[in-house]
Amino acid sequence: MSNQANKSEMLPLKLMIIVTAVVLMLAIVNELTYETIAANAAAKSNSARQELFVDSTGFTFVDFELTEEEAKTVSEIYSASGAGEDILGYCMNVTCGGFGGDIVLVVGVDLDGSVTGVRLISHSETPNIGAKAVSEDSALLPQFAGASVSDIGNISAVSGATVTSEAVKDGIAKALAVAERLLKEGY
Amino acid sequence: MSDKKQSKAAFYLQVIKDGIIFKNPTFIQLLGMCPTLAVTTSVSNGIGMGLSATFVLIFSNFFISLLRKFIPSKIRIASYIVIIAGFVTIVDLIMKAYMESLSESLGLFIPLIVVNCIILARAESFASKNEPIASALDGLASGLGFTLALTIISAIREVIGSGTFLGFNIMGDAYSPALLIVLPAGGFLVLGFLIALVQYIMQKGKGE
Amino acid sequence: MLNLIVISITAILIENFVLVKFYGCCPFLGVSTKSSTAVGMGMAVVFTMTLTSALTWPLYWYVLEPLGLEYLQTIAFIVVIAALVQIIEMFLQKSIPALYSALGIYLPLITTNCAVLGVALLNITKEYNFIESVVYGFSAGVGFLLAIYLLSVVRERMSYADIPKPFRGFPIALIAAALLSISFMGFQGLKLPF
Repeated sequence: MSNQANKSEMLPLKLMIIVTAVVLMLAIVNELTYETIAANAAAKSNSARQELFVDSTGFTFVDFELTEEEAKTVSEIYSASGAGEDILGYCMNVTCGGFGGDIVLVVGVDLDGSVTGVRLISHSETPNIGAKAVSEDSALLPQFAGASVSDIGNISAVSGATVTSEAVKDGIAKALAVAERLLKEGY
Repeated sequence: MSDKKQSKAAFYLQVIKDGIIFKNPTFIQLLGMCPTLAVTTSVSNGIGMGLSATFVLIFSNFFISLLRKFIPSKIRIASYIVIIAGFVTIVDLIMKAYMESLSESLGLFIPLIVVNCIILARAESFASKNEPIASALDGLASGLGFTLALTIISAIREVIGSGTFLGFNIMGDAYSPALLIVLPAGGFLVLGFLIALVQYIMQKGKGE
Repeated sequence: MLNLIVISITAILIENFVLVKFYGCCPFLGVSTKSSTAVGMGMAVVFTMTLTSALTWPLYWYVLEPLGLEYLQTIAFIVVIAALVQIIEMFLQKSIPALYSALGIYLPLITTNCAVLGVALLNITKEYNFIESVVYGFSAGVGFLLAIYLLSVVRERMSYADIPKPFRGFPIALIAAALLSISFMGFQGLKLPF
Protein backbone atom coordinates (compact mmCIF):
# COMPACT_ATOMS: atom_id res chain seq x y z
CA MET A 1 0.00 0.00 0.00
CA SER A 2 1.72 3.19 -1.13
CA ASN A 3 1.61 6.31 0.99
CA GLN A 4 -0.42 7.93 -1.75
CA ALA A 5 -3.23 5.48 -1.27
CA ASN A 6 -3.37 6.11 2.48
CA LYS A 7 -3.63 9.91 2.41
CA SER A 8 -6.37 10.72 4.87
CA GLU A 9 -8.20 13.19 2.63
CA MET A 10 -8.53 10.45 0.05
CA LEU A 11 -10.07 7.95 2.47
CA PRO A 12 -13.64 9.23 2.83
CA LEU A 13 -13.67 10.12 -0.86
CA LYS A 14 -12.64 6.63 -1.92
CA LEU A 15 -15.18 5.07 0.43
CA MET A 16 -17.84 7.34 -1.02
CA ILE A 17 -16.90 6.22 -4.52
CA ILE A 18 -17.20 2.56 -3.57
CA VAL A 19 -20.49 3.09 -1.78
CA THR A 20 -21.91 5.06 -4.69
CA ALA A 21 -20.86 2.42 -7.20
CA VAL A 22 -22.45 -0.35 -5.15
CA VAL A 23 -25.67 1.61 -4.60
CA LEU A 24 -25.91 2.33 -8.33
CA MET A 25 -25.46 -1.34 -9.11
CA LEU A 26 -28.20 -2.21 -6.63
CA ALA A 27 -30.54 0.40 -8.05
CA ILE A 28 -30.21 -1.24 -11.46
CA VAL A 29 -30.88 -4.72 -10.14
CA ASN A 30 -33.79 -3.42 -8.13
CA GLU A 31 -35.31 -1.81 -11.23
CA LEU A 32 -35.06 -5.14 -13.00
CA THR A 33 -36.62 -7.19 -10.24
CA TYR A 34 -39.08 -5.20 -8.18
CA GLU A 35 -41.98 -5.67 -10.54
CA THR A 36 -41.51 -9.43 -10.57
CA ILE A 37 -41.32 -9.48 -6.79
CA ALA A 38 -44.48 -7.44 -6.37
CA ALA A 39 -46.27 -9.53 -9.00
CA ASN A 40 -45.26 -12.71 -7.22
CA ALA A 41 -46.81 -11.54 -3.99
CA ALA A 42 -50.00 -10.33 -5.69
CA ALA A 43 -50.41 -13.49 -7.75
CA LYS A 44 -50.11 -15.68 -4.71
CA SER A 45 -52.73 -13.73 -2.76
CA ASN A 46 -55.10 -13.55 -5.73
CA SER A 47 -55.00 -17.25 -6.49
CA ALA A 48 -55.45 -18.03 -2.80
CA ARG A 49 -58.54 -15.80 -2.63
CA GLN A 50 -59.95 -17.43 -5.71
CA GLU A 51 -59.58 -20.84 -4.11
CA LEU A 52 -61.51 -19.67 -1.08
CA PHE A 53 -64.44 -18.37 -3.14
CA VAL A 54 -64.45 -20.56 -6.20
CA ASP A 55 -67.55 -18.93 -7.68
CA SER A 56 -66.33 -15.41 -7.20
CA THR A 57 -65.99 -13.17 -10.23
CA GLY A 58 -63.66 -10.71 -8.60
CA PHE A 59 -62.28 -9.22 -5.42
CA THR A 60 -62.52 -5.66 -4.23
CA PHE A 61 -60.44 -4.04 -1.54
CA VAL A 62 -62.45 -3.13 1.56
CA ASP A 63 -61.43 0.00 3.41
CA PHE A 64 -62.48 -1.08 6.90
CA GLU A 65 -61.05 0.77 9.88
CA LEU A 66 -59.17 -1.66 12.11
CA THR A 67 -58.23 -1.00 15.72
CA GLU A 68 -54.52 -1.01 16.52
CA GLU A 69 -54.92 -4.39 18.20
CA GLU A 70 -56.76 -5.90 15.25
CA ALA A 71 -54.28 -4.48 12.77
CA LYS A 72 -51.52 -6.52 14.39
CA THR A 73 -53.06 -9.71 13.04
CA VAL A 74 -55.49 -8.85 10.27
CA SER A 75 -54.80 -6.96 7.07
CA GLU A 76 -55.91 -6.72 3.44
CA ILE A 77 -59.63 -7.26 3.64
CA TYR A 78 -61.25 -7.98 0.28
CA SER A 79 -64.85 -8.65 -0.57
CA ALA A 80 -65.60 -11.50 -2.93
CA SER A 81 -68.21 -10.51 -5.51
CA GLY A 82 -70.56 -13.02 -6.99
CA ALA A 83 -72.53 -12.87 -10.22
CA GLY A 84 -74.32 -9.55 -10.34
CA GLU A 85 -73.60 -7.23 -7.46
CA ASP A 86 -73.88 -9.54 -4.45
CA ILE A 87 -71.09 -10.18 -2.08
CA LEU A 88 -70.29 -13.81 -1.35
CA GLY A 89 -68.09 -13.13 1.60
CA TYR A 90 -64.82 -11.62 2.67
CA CYS A 91 -61.16 -12.58 2.57
CA MET A 92 -58.60 -11.30 4.97
CA ASN A 93 -54.91 -11.83 5.49
CA VAL A 94 -53.95 -13.17 8.89
CA THR A 95 -50.42 -12.82 10.23
CA CYS A 96 -49.55 -15.12 13.13
CA GLY A 97 -46.28 -15.54 14.95
CA GLY A 98 -45.05 -19.02 14.17
CA PHE A 99 -41.99 -20.81 15.45
CA GLY A 100 -39.64 -19.53 12.79
CA GLY A 101 -41.23 -16.18 12.11
CA ASP A 102 -44.48 -14.84 10.74
CA ILE A 103 -47.03 -17.09 9.08
CA VAL A 104 -49.31 -15.32 6.61
CA LEU A 105 -52.64 -16.96 5.73
CA VAL A 106 -55.72 -15.89 3.84
CA VAL A 107 -59.00 -16.69 5.54
CA GLY A 108 -62.30 -16.73 3.70
CA VAL A 109 -65.36 -15.81 5.75
CA ASP A 110 -68.92 -16.18 4.49
CA LEU A 111 -71.81 -13.90 5.33
CA ASP A 112 -72.71 -15.98 8.41
CA GLY A 113 -69.32 -15.34 9.90
CA SER A 114 -68.02 -18.88 9.36
CA VAL A 115 -64.77 -19.83 7.71
CA THR A 116 -64.98 -20.96 4.09
CA GLY A 117 -61.36 -22.03 4.05
CA VAL A 118 -57.81 -21.12 4.88
CA ARG A 119 -54.92 -20.83 2.46
CA LEU A 120 -51.24 -20.37 3.19
CA ILE A 121 -49.37 -17.39 1.73
CA SER A 122 -46.02 -17.60 3.42
CA HIS A 123 -44.16 -19.04 6.39
CA SER A 124 -40.67 -19.85 7.56
CA GLU A 125 -41.37 -22.84 9.76
CA THR A 126 -38.93 -25.70 10.05
CA PRO A 127 -39.61 -28.22 7.31
CA ASN A 128 -41.38 -31.31 8.64
CA ILE A 129 -41.94 -29.75 12.03
CA GLY A 130 -43.85 -26.49 12.19
CA ALA A 131 -44.33 -26.66 8.45
CA LYS A 132 -46.49 -29.77 8.88
CA ALA A 133 -49.22 -27.60 10.33
CA VAL A 134 -49.37 -25.17 7.43
CA SER A 135 -48.06 -26.94 4.34
CA GLU A 136 -50.16 -28.35 1.49
CA ASP A 137 -51.02 -31.62 3.20
CA SER A 138 -51.66 -29.95 6.51
CA ALA A 139 -54.02 -31.72 8.86
CA LEU A 140 -54.76 -28.43 10.58
CA LEU A 141 -55.97 -26.01 7.91
CA PRO A 142 -58.83 -28.13 6.48
CA GLN A 143 -60.34 -28.38 9.98
CA PHE A 144 -61.26 -24.69 9.83
CA ALA A 145 -63.75 -25.14 6.99
CA GLY A 146 -67.18 -24.20 8.24
CA ALA A 147 -65.89 -23.21 11.66
CA SER A 148 -67.29 -20.27 13.56
CA VAL A 149 -65.67 -18.55 16.52
CA SER A 150 -66.95 -21.08 19.05
CA ASP A 151 -65.63 -24.03 17.04
CA ILE A 152 -62.04 -22.86 17.05
CA GLY A 153 -61.34 -24.24 20.49
CA ASN A 154 -62.20 -27.76 19.32
CA ILE A 155 -59.75 -27.84 16.48
CA SER A 156 -56.90 -30.23 17.16
CA ALA A 157 -53.35 -29.11 16.78
CA VAL A 158 -50.93 -31.10 14.64
CA SER A 159 -48.81 -33.26 16.91
CA GLY A 160 -45.22 -32.07 16.99
CA ALA A 161 -46.30 -28.64 15.74
CA THR A 162 -48.24 -27.38 18.71
CA VAL A 163 -46.80 -23.89 18.87
CA THR A 164 -47.46 -23.33 15.18
CA SER A 165 -50.96 -24.81 15.36
CA GLU A 166 -51.96 -22.73 18.35
CA ALA A 167 -50.62 -19.58 16.69
CA VAL A 168 -52.71 -20.31 13.61
CA LYS A 169 -55.86 -21.01 15.64
CA ASP A 170 -55.35 -17.81 17.58
CA GLY A 171 -54.89 -15.77 14.42
CA ILE A 172 -57.97 -17.16 12.73
CA ALA A 173 -60.08 -16.57 15.83
CA LYS A 174 -58.97 -12.93 15.74
CA ALA A 175 -59.87 -12.75 12.04
CA LEU A 176 -63.35 -14.11 12.76
CA ALA A 177 -63.80 -11.45 15.42
CA VAL A 178 -62.93 -8.77 12.88
CA ALA A 179 -65.32 -10.38 10.36
CA GLU A 180 -68.11 -10.29 12.94
CA ARG A 181 -67.52 -6.59 13.49
CA LEU A 182 -67.37 -6.00 9.74
CA LEU A 183 -70.65 -7.82 9.09
CA LYS A 184 -72.35 -5.91 11.88
CA GLU A 185 -71.07 -2.42 11.18
CA GLY A 186 -70.62 -2.45 7.45
CA TYR A 187 -68.03 -0.17 5.91
CA MET B 1 6.52 -19.51 -20.81
CA SER B 2 5.21 -23.03 -20.37
CA ASP B 3 6.79 -23.20 -16.92
CA LYS B 4 4.87 -20.11 -15.86
CA LYS B 5 1.67 -21.53 -17.30
CA GLN B 6 2.25 -24.82 -15.52
CA SER B 7 2.84 -23.20 -12.15
CA LYS B 8 -0.21 -21.00 -12.63
CA ALA B 9 -2.35 -24.05 -13.32
CA ALA B 10 -0.83 -25.78 -10.32
CA PHE B 11 -1.57 -22.69 -8.24
CA TYR B 12 -5.19 -22.64 -9.39
CA LEU B 13 -5.53 -26.33 -8.63
CA GLN B 14 -4.15 -25.80 -5.14
CA VAL B 15 -6.59 -22.94 -4.59
CA ILE B 16 -9.46 -25.23 -5.48
CA LYS B 17 -8.25 -28.10 -3.34
CA ASP B 18 -7.69 -25.78 -0.41
CA GLY B 19 -11.09 -24.18 -0.61
CA ILE B 20 -13.04 -27.39 -0.83
CA ILE B 21 -11.05 -29.74 1.37
CA PHE B 22 -7.90 -28.66 3.13
CA LYS B 23 -9.14 -25.29 4.30
CA ASN B 24 -12.82 -26.13 4.28
CA PRO B 25 -14.50 -23.06 5.78
CA THR B 26 -16.86 -25.03 8.01
CA PHE B 27 -14.98 -28.11 9.12
CA ILE B 28 -11.42 -26.83 9.20
CA GLN B 29 -11.56 -23.09 9.57
CA LEU B 30 -14.68 -23.22 11.74
CA LEU B 31 -16.19 -20.13 10.14
CA GLY B 32 -19.74 -19.22 9.23
CA MET B 33 -21.41 -21.11 12.06
CA CYS B 34 -24.70 -19.17 12.15
CA PRO B 35 -26.18 -20.26 8.84
CA THR B 36 -24.57 -23.69 9.16
CA LEU B 37 -26.56 -24.43 12.26
CA ALA B 38 -29.74 -22.69 11.22
CA VAL B 39 -30.47 -23.70 7.63
CA THR B 40 -29.34 -27.32 7.68
CA THR B 41 -32.76 -28.68 8.58
CA SER B 42 -33.29 -29.84 5.03
CA VAL B 43 -30.97 -30.63 2.15
CA SER B 44 -32.69 -28.21 -0.20
CA ASN B 45 -32.22 -25.37 2.28
CA GLY B 46 -28.60 -26.34 2.85
CA ILE B 47 -27.75 -26.46 -0.84
CA GLY B 48 -29.72 -23.28 -1.50
CA MET B 49 -27.83 -21.36 1.14
CA GLY B 50 -24.50 -22.82 0.06
CA LEU B 51 -24.97 -21.83 -3.56
CA SER B 52 -26.19 -18.33 -2.66
CA ALA B 53 -23.12 -17.81 -0.49
CA THR B 54 -20.94 -19.19 -3.30
CA PHE B 55 -22.39 -16.63 -5.73
CA VAL B 56 -21.56 -13.82 -3.31
CA LEU B 57 -18.10 -15.24 -2.66
CA ILE B 58 -17.17 -15.43 -6.33
CA PHE B 59 -18.27 -11.90 -7.15
CA SER B 60 -17.10 -10.19 -4.00
CA ASN B 61 -13.70 -11.89 -4.16
CA PHE B 62 -13.38 -10.95 -7.84
CA PHE B 63 -14.25 -7.30 -7.41
CA ILE B 64 -12.33 -6.84 -4.18
CA SER B 65 -9.29 -8.33 -5.88
CA LEU B 66 -9.84 -6.05 -8.86
CA LEU B 67 -9.92 -3.03 -6.56
CA ARG B 68 -7.24 -4.18 -4.18
CA LYS B 69 -4.79 -1.46 -5.16
CA PHE B 70 -7.47 1.21 -5.11
CA ILE B 71 -8.85 0.47 -1.64
CA PRO B 72 -6.77 2.12 1.07
CA SER B 73 -5.72 -0.20 3.86
CA LYS B 74 -7.36 1.88 6.60
CA ILE B 75 -10.86 1.57 5.21
CA ARG B 76 -10.50 -1.85 3.69
CA ILE B 77 -12.81 -3.73 6.05
CA ALA B 78 -15.53 -1.14 5.63
CA SER B 79 -15.11 -1.26 1.84
CA TYR B 80 -15.23 -5.05 1.77
CA ILE B 81 -18.40 -5.02 3.82
CA VAL B 82 -20.07 -2.54 1.47
CA ILE B 83 -19.12 -4.56 -1.61
CA ILE B 84 -20.20 -7.83 -0.02
CA ALA B 85 -23.48 -6.25 1.10
CA GLY B 86 -24.06 -5.16 -2.48
CA PHE B 87 -23.79 -8.67 -3.87
CA VAL B 88 -25.81 -10.14 -1.03
CA THR B 89 -28.62 -7.72 -1.84
CA ILE B 90 -28.44 -8.77 -5.48
CA VAL B 91 -28.77 -12.43 -4.50
CA ASP B 92 -31.64 -11.51 -2.18
CA LEU B 93 -33.53 -9.62 -4.90
CA ILE B 94 -32.98 -12.30 -7.54
CA MET B 95 -34.17 -15.01 -5.17
CA LYS B 96 -37.24 -13.04 -4.12
CA ALA B 97 -38.14 -12.59 -7.77
CA TYR B 98 -37.36 -16.02 -9.21
CA MET B 99 -36.97 -18.47 -6.32
CA GLU B 100 -39.72 -17.48 -3.97
CA SER B 101 -40.13 -20.60 -1.87
CA LEU B 102 -36.40 -21.00 -1.26
CA SER B 103 -36.19 -17.32 -0.38
CA GLU B 104 -38.94 -17.79 2.19
CA SER B 105 -37.43 -20.92 3.73
CA LEU B 106 -34.04 -19.30 4.16
CA GLY B 107 -35.67 -16.14 5.45
CA LEU B 108 -33.39 -13.62 7.11
CA PHE B 109 -30.34 -15.80 6.62
CA ILE B 110 -29.97 -14.55 3.08
CA PRO B 111 -29.30 -10.94 4.02
CA LEU B 112 -27.26 -12.33 6.91
CA ILE B 113 -24.79 -13.73 4.37
CA VAL B 114 -23.29 -10.25 4.65
CA VAL B 115 -21.94 -11.07 8.08
CA ASN B 116 -20.95 -14.60 7.22
CA CYS B 117 -17.37 -14.59 8.45
CA ILE B 118 -16.31 -16.81 5.57
CA ILE B 119 -16.76 -14.10 2.97
CA LEU B 120 -14.94 -11.43 4.92
CA ALA B 121 -12.16 -13.89 5.79
CA ARG B 122 -11.60 -14.86 2.15
CA ALA B 123 -11.62 -11.22 1.11
CA GLU B 124 -9.09 -10.30 3.76
CA SER B 125 -6.77 -13.27 3.44
CA PHE B 126 -6.93 -14.01 -0.28
CA ALA B 127 -8.67 -11.51 -2.50
CA SER B 128 -6.77 -8.54 -1.12
CA LYS B 129 -3.48 -10.17 -2.03
CA ASN B 130 -4.08 -12.09 -5.23
CA GLU B 131 -5.15 -11.44 -8.77
CA PRO B 132 -8.83 -11.45 -9.75
CA ILE B 133 -9.09 -14.80 -11.53
CA ALA B 134 -7.40 -16.68 -8.71
CA SER B 135 -9.59 -14.80 -6.24
CA ALA B 136 -12.76 -15.68 -8.08
CA LEU B 137 -11.57 -19.29 -8.11
CA ASP B 138 -10.88 -19.12 -4.38
CA GLY B 139 -14.36 -17.74 -3.88
CA LEU B 140 -15.81 -20.59 -5.92
CA ALA B 141 -13.78 -23.20 -4.07
CA SER B 142 -14.54 -21.87 -0.57
CA GLY B 143 -18.18 -21.56 -1.53
CA LEU B 144 -18.27 -25.13 -2.78
CA GLY B 145 -16.51 -26.29 0.37
CA PHE B 146 -19.13 -24.48 2.41
CA THR B 147 -21.93 -25.96 0.28
CA LEU B 148 -20.44 -29.42 0.66
CA ALA B 149 -20.34 -29.03 4.43
CA LEU B 150 -23.91 -27.74 4.53
CA THR B 151 -25.09 -30.60 2.33
CA ILE B 152 -23.48 -33.23 4.54
CA ILE B 153 -24.88 -31.72 7.71
CA SER B 154 -28.37 -31.23 6.32
CA ALA B 155 -28.40 -34.71 4.79
CA ILE B 156 -27.74 -36.17 8.23
CA ARG B 157 -30.26 -33.92 9.91
CA GLU B 158 -32.98 -34.38 7.34
CA VAL B 159 -32.68 -38.16 7.06
CA ILE B 160 -32.46 -38.84 10.78
CA GLY B 161 -34.67 -36.00 11.91
CA SER B 162 -37.44 -36.10 9.31
CA GLY B 163 -36.97 -39.38 7.51
CA THR B 164 -36.79 -37.60 4.18
CA PHE B 165 -34.12 -36.55 1.70
CA LEU B 166 -34.85 -33.58 -0.52
CA GLY B 167 -38.45 -34.02 0.51
CA PHE B 168 -38.63 -37.64 -0.54
CA ASN B 169 -39.57 -40.05 2.21
CA ILE B 170 -36.73 -42.53 2.21
CA MET B 171 -36.90 -44.06 5.63
CA GLY B 172 -40.29 -45.59 5.13
CA ASP B 173 -43.42 -45.09 7.18
CA ALA B 174 -42.31 -47.27 10.04
CA TYR B 175 -39.52 -44.84 10.86
CA SER B 176 -40.23 -42.50 13.72
CA PRO B 177 -38.08 -39.45 13.08
CA ALA B 178 -35.77 -38.21 15.81
CA LEU B 179 -37.25 -34.72 15.93
CA LEU B 180 -34.52 -33.40 18.17
CA ILE B 181 -32.06 -33.53 15.31
CA VAL B 182 -33.89 -30.90 13.28
CA LEU B 183 -34.39 -28.70 16.30
CA PRO B 184 -31.71 -26.16 17.25
CA ALA B 185 -30.15 -28.53 19.79
CA GLY B 186 -29.74 -31.12 17.07
CA GLY B 187 -27.88 -28.62 14.95
CA PHE B 188 -25.28 -28.08 17.65
CA LEU B 189 -25.07 -31.81 18.26
CA VAL B 190 -24.57 -32.93 14.66
CA LEU B 191 -22.03 -30.21 13.94
CA GLY B 192 -20.15 -31.02 17.15
CA PHE B 193 -19.82 -34.68 16.28
CA LEU B 194 -18.84 -33.96 12.69
CA ILE B 195 -16.06 -31.57 13.71
CA ALA B 196 -14.89 -34.12 16.26
CA LEU B 197 -14.74 -36.64 13.42
CA VAL B 198 -12.74 -34.23 11.27
CA GLN B 199 -10.34 -33.49 14.11
CA TYR B 200 -9.97 -37.23 14.71
CA ILE B 201 -9.07 -37.78 11.06
CA MET B 202 -6.58 -34.92 11.15
CA GLN B 203 -4.98 -36.17 14.33
CA LYS B 204 -4.70 -39.70 12.97
CA GLY B 205 -3.15 -38.19 9.85
CA LYS B 206 -0.48 -36.58 11.97
CA GLY B 207 0.26 -40.00 13.42
CA GLU B 208 -0.62 -39.39 17.04
CA MET C 1 -46.40 -1.66 28.49
CA LEU C 2 -47.42 -5.28 28.82
CA ASN C 3 -46.46 -6.08 25.26
CA LEU C 4 -42.94 -4.79 25.99
CA ILE C 5 -42.63 -7.37 28.74
CA VAL C 6 -43.85 -10.04 26.33
CA ILE C 7 -41.26 -8.95 23.80
CA SER C 8 -38.49 -9.08 26.41
CA ILE C 9 -39.33 -12.46 27.85
CA THR C 10 -39.76 -13.88 24.37
CA ALA C 11 -36.40 -12.60 23.23
CA ILE C 12 -34.52 -13.75 26.31
CA LEU C 13 -36.11 -17.08 27.05
CA ILE C 14 -38.68 -18.39 24.60
CA GLU C 15 -36.91 -17.45 21.38
CA ASN C 16 -33.40 -16.98 22.71
CA PHE C 17 -31.39 -15.34 19.98
CA VAL C 18 -28.52 -17.81 20.15
CA LEU C 19 -29.96 -21.08 21.38
CA VAL C 20 -33.17 -21.02 19.36
CA LYS C 21 -32.73 -18.62 16.47
CA PHE C 22 -28.99 -19.29 15.97
CA TYR C 23 -28.04 -15.64 15.62
CA GLY C 24 -24.67 -14.78 17.08
CA CYS C 25 -23.19 -18.28 17.02
CA CYS C 26 -19.68 -17.34 15.96
CA PRO C 27 -18.80 -15.22 19.00
CA PHE C 28 -20.96 -17.50 21.12
CA LEU C 29 -18.61 -20.36 20.33
CA GLY C 30 -15.48 -18.30 19.95
CA VAL C 31 -15.50 -16.08 23.02
CA SER C 32 -16.95 -18.45 25.59
CA THR C 33 -13.78 -19.96 26.96
CA LYS C 34 -13.52 -17.64 29.93
CA SER C 35 -16.55 -16.34 31.77
CA SER C 36 -15.04 -12.88 32.37
CA THR C 37 -14.41 -12.26 28.65
CA ALA C 38 -17.78 -13.78 27.83
CA VAL C 39 -19.56 -11.32 30.10
CA GLY C 40 -17.56 -8.41 28.69
CA MET C 41 -18.38 -9.45 25.14
CA GLY C 42 -22.01 -10.03 26.08
CA MET C 43 -22.39 -6.56 27.54
CA ALA C 44 -20.69 -4.94 24.57
CA VAL C 45 -23.16 -6.81 22.36
CA VAL C 46 -26.17 -5.69 24.45
CA PHE C 47 -25.01 -2.12 24.11
CA THR C 48 -24.40 -2.45 20.37
CA MET C 49 -27.71 -4.17 19.71
CA THR C 50 -29.71 -1.58 21.64
CA LEU C 51 -28.05 1.34 19.88
CA THR C 52 -28.30 -0.40 16.50
CA SER C 53 -32.04 -0.86 16.96
CA ALA C 54 -32.39 2.77 17.94
CA LEU C 55 -30.48 3.98 14.89
CA THR C 56 -31.66 1.60 12.19
CA TRP C 57 -35.36 1.98 12.97
CA PRO C 58 -35.64 5.67 12.05
CA LEU C 59 -33.24 5.09 9.16
CA TYR C 60 -35.65 2.60 7.64
CA TRP C 61 -39.00 4.21 8.42
CA TYR C 62 -38.05 7.85 7.84
CA VAL C 63 -35.52 7.53 5.04
CA LEU C 64 -35.49 4.22 3.16
CA GLU C 65 -39.18 3.38 3.11
CA PRO C 66 -40.58 6.80 2.15
CA LEU C 67 -38.04 7.01 -0.67
CA GLY C 68 -38.80 3.50 -1.88
CA LEU C 69 -35.25 2.43 -1.13
CA GLU C 70 -36.09 -0.64 0.95
CA TYR C 71 -33.70 -2.71 -1.12
CA LEU C 72 -30.81 -0.72 0.36
CA GLN C 73 -31.77 -1.97 3.81
CA THR C 74 -29.00 -4.55 4.20
CA ILE C 75 -26.22 -2.31 3.02
CA ALA C 76 -27.44 0.73 4.97
CA PHE C 77 -27.82 -1.23 8.19
CA ILE C 78 -24.43 -2.91 7.99
CA VAL C 79 -22.75 0.45 7.35
CA VAL C 80 -24.47 1.87 10.44
CA ILE C 81 -23.37 -1.14 12.47
CA ALA C 82 -19.77 -0.95 11.25
CA ALA C 83 -19.61 2.75 12.08
CA LEU C 84 -21.21 2.19 15.49
CA VAL C 85 -18.76 -0.58 16.41
CA GLN C 86 -15.88 1.63 15.33
CA ILE C 87 -17.13 4.41 17.61
CA ILE C 88 -17.64 2.00 20.52
CA GLU C 89 -14.11 0.72 19.98
CA MET C 90 -12.63 4.22 20.16
CA PHE C 91 -14.76 5.04 23.19
CA LEU C 92 -13.67 1.91 25.07
CA GLN C 93 -10.04 2.49 24.17
CA LYS C 94 -10.19 5.88 25.86
CA SER C 95 -12.46 5.24 28.82
CA ILE C 96 -12.26 1.54 29.77
CA PRO C 97 -8.89 0.41 28.42
CA ALA C 98 -8.92 -2.74 30.53
CA LEU C 99 -12.06 -4.00 28.83
CA TYR C 100 -10.74 -2.84 25.48
CA SER C 101 -7.60 -4.95 25.76
CA ALA C 102 -9.49 -7.92 27.21
CA LEU C 103 -11.84 -8.02 24.25
CA GLY C 104 -9.00 -7.52 21.79
CA ILE C 105 -9.92 -8.49 18.27
CA TYR C 106 -13.36 -9.65 19.37
CA LEU C 107 -14.59 -6.07 19.49
CA PRO C 108 -14.47 -5.36 15.76
CA LEU C 109 -15.95 -8.83 15.31
CA ILE C 110 -19.19 -7.55 16.77
CA THR C 111 -19.75 -6.05 13.33
CA THR C 112 -20.01 -9.53 11.86
CA ASN C 113 -22.17 -10.80 14.69
CA CYS C 114 -25.32 -12.02 12.96
CA ALA C 115 -27.30 -11.09 16.05
CA VAL C 116 -26.71 -7.38 15.59
CA LEU C 117 -27.73 -7.21 11.94
CA GLY C 118 -30.35 -9.87 12.65
CA VAL C 119 -32.15 -7.85 15.29
CA ALA C 120 -32.11 -4.74 13.09
CA LEU C 121 -33.73 -6.69 10.25
CA LEU C 122 -36.20 -8.43 12.55
CA ASN C 123 -37.40 -5.11 13.99
CA ILE C 124 -38.47 -4.13 10.50
CA THR C 125 -39.98 -7.51 9.57
CA LYS C 126 -42.00 -7.62 12.77
CA GLU C 127 -43.09 -4.01 12.18
CA TYR C 128 -42.30 -2.97 15.73
CA ASN C 129 -42.62 0.68 16.68
CA PHE C 130 -39.57 2.55 17.95
CA ILE C 131 -39.89 1.67 21.63
CA GLU C 132 -40.65 -1.96 20.84
CA SER C 133 -37.60 -2.13 18.58
CA VAL C 134 -35.26 -0.73 21.20
CA VAL C 135 -36.68 -3.05 23.85
CA TYR C 136 -36.34 -5.98 21.46
CA GLY C 137 -32.75 -5.03 20.64
CA PHE C 138 -31.89 -4.74 24.31
CA SER C 139 -33.64 -8.00 25.28
CA ALA C 140 -32.18 -9.98 22.41
CA GLY C 141 -28.77 -8.76 23.55
CA VAL C 142 -29.53 -9.87 27.08
CA GLY C 143 -30.53 -13.25 25.68
CA PHE C 144 -27.17 -13.44 23.96
CA LEU C 145 -25.39 -12.40 27.14
CA LEU C 146 -27.25 -15.06 29.09
CA ALA C 147 -26.40 -17.77 26.59
CA ILE C 148 -22.74 -16.88 26.24
CA TYR C 149 -22.29 -16.55 29.99
CA LEU C 150 -23.92 -19.93 30.64
CA LEU C 151 -21.78 -21.61 28.01
CA SER C 152 -18.58 -20.01 29.29
CA VAL C 153 -19.24 -21.20 32.81
CA VAL C 154 -19.81 -24.73 31.53
CA ARG C 155 -16.67 -24.60 29.41
CA GLU C 156 -14.59 -23.35 32.31
CA ARG C 157 -15.66 -26.36 34.33
CA MET C 158 -15.07 -28.66 31.37
CA SER C 159 -11.50 -27.48 31.01
CA TYR C 160 -10.71 -29.56 34.08
CA ALA C 161 -12.25 -32.67 32.59
CA ASP C 162 -10.42 -35.28 30.59
CA ILE C 163 -11.99 -34.84 27.20
CA PRO C 164 -11.17 -37.24 24.36
CA LYS C 165 -8.72 -35.66 21.93
CA PRO C 166 -10.96 -35.29 18.87
CA PHE C 167 -13.57 -33.50 20.93
CA ARG C 168 -11.36 -30.85 22.46
CA GLY C 169 -12.13 -27.29 21.59
CA PHE C 170 -15.07 -26.66 19.29
CA PRO C 171 -16.80 -30.08 19.29
CA ILE C 172 -17.30 -30.32 23.03
CA ALA C 173 -18.39 -26.69 23.13
CA LEU C 174 -21.01 -27.47 20.50
CA ILE C 175 -22.27 -30.45 22.43
CA ALA C 176 -22.46 -28.36 25.59
CA ALA C 177 -24.38 -25.76 23.59
CA ALA C 178 -26.73 -28.51 22.43
CA LEU C 179 -27.50 -29.40 26.03
CA LEU C 180 -28.01 -25.72 26.83
CA SER C 181 -30.38 -25.47 23.90
CA ILE C 182 -32.34 -28.49 25.07
CA SER C 183 -32.74 -26.96 28.52
CA PHE C 184 -34.08 -23.77 26.95
CA MET C 185 -36.61 -25.82 25.03
CA GLY C 186 -38.42 -26.04 28.31
CA PHE C 187 -39.51 -22.45 27.76
CA GLN C 188 -41.13 -23.31 24.45
CA GLY C 189 -44.58 -23.95 25.80
CA LEU C 190 -44.53 -20.75 27.83
CA LYS C 191 -47.79 -19.09 26.97
CA LEU C 192 -47.77 -15.64 28.45
CA PRO C 193 -51.21 -14.74 29.84
CA PHE C 194 -51.18 -11.32 28.20
